[in-house]
Amino acid sequence: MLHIRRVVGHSMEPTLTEGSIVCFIKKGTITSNSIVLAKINDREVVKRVIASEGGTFELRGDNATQSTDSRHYGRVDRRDIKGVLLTILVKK
Amino acid sequence: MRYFIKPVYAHCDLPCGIYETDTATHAAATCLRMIEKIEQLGDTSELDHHNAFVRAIQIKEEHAQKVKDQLYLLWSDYFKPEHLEKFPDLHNTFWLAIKQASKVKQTVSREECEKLVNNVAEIANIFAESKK
Repeated sequence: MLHIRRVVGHSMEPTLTEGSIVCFIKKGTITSNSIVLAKINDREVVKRVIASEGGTFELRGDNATQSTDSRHYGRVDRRDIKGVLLTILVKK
Repeated sequence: MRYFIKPVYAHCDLPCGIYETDTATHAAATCLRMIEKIEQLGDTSELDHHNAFVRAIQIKEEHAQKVKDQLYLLWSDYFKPEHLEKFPDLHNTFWLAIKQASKVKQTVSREECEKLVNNVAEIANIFAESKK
């Protein structure tokens, strides 16, 4: 199953720019460096996995100075990772 | 069509998470600059000089308050409990800087302004380190 989303914000620039349309695959394999769709505080965010340990993942925005991520809300459980980036459908 | 597609946030947190220390840094530097301007005025009994003096004090007051506002925001909204592991003196650093901003408001002192500039620079370094 696929999740199609529209990127809002700048915390993943230059990789994902605002307005881009991206496609995530549900139950994709999460590896270090994967870009994932995660649910944090009832809100879907897109971040990069920079580390994993014991079923939890450290997320970071590529544009670190503009990103709220695991540095602020801690590691994210596997259950909260909703998909792995498959492709950028429309790059803005 | 684009706006019918569900958004995913590559965004800061809500409240707005675009945190920075430039504003506080510039505000502290402005306070110091106002003292320099006042020192250059010399005798303020002349009307134009008195006018410039009053304006410089007003600007110092405004920017010292801006420092306080920015530091309150960073301290309460950006820094999290986990930051205390890396920066155990965080709360005291902010407390002293905010008190120093008050001191700058209460005085016409180059020394007090320089202390504030240093306090804010220390916080800016902590902020930069926290982003690594």
